[in-house]
Amino acid sequence: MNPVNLDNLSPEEILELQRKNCIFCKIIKKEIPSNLIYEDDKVSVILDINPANEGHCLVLPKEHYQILPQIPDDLIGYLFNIAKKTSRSLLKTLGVEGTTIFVANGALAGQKAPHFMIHVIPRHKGDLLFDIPRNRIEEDQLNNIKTKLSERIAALTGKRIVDKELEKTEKKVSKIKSAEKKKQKNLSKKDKALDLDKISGLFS
Amino acid sequence: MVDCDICQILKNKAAFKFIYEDELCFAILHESPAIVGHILVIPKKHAAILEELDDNIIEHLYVISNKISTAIFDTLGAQGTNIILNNGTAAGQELPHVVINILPRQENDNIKLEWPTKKVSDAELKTTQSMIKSYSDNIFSGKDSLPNIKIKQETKVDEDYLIKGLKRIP
Repeated sequence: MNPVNLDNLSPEEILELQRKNCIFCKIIKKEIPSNLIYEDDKVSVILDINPANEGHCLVLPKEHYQILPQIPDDLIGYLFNIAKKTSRSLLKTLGVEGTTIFVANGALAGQKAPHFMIHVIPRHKGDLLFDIPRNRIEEDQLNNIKTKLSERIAALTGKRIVDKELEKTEKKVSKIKSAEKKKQKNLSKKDKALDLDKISGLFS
Repeated sequence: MVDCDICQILKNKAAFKFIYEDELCFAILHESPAIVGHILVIPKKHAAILEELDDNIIEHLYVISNKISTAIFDTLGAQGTNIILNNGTAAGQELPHVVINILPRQENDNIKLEWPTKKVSDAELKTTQSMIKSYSDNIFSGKDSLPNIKIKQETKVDEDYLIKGLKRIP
């Protein structure tokens, strides 16, 4: 087979190529065997063959998506509700006392294959998985991130959080803006007056 | 719930770094983060574990988590994100209220979430599959008649960051 030069391909063609070579797409289409737990027209749930614990399940959208931000909202809702049912199935049948619902977006977050998946992992006390560490952080740094993130989240969701400090600054800004507008208005009046002087001057 | 430390956050908003809020959920910055930009997404309705939440709330929580994850990519220059829900004390859940953790990820960020994989034989996988399938079809088809899961809760009161936050009333 000739090596494919990715530079000559359109984004759609690259995606098509990824789909063709995606192991999970092949598992979903049953071209590769797996231990299926559940499937419908949108999703397949299979056992991970290299589990973190016995009963480790993968919730896979049938459509090929690489990461969560690419997936439409209604499908996100559907997939995580299937994850909830998967979690309940594990709690009811394997005698475990907890589960971890885990998503990695991107290789640096630990994503191993370019097909989005939700891991549903049975947990045992003291199994030392997913220990989320805690660190100290400066108040200034927290405030800085808060401003950056809440602005962007407000833009993405169309919802602004009620924040008294933020409101104060916004009020200040709008005061300054309206003062500037007034100034502009007065200026333009002056300009007009000047123009009229000029024009009338032409006739004299 | 009155005595839930997480429910109490909404009564003392000024002590926390809110980055998002709507009628169903809110998001705050973790005050002792795993990494800079560590966020907690929390449903307003009191529920100890995911299984106690209605489908529409779960959909909403994860749609919002995705938007927050996107904002992390856009503004903090993260090269990846993790979205983690530890469901039940055995999974490391510390307070009896559902919390989704969102972590921005960078190269060499020293966060170790990867698990050592277990070697299992095909026969073992088949056994596990049939154990799960013995009841899971009922759950997926909505014919689930088993009672709700009650998970043992042990609350660590002494030095929890959320309680510390609550005490820091100005």
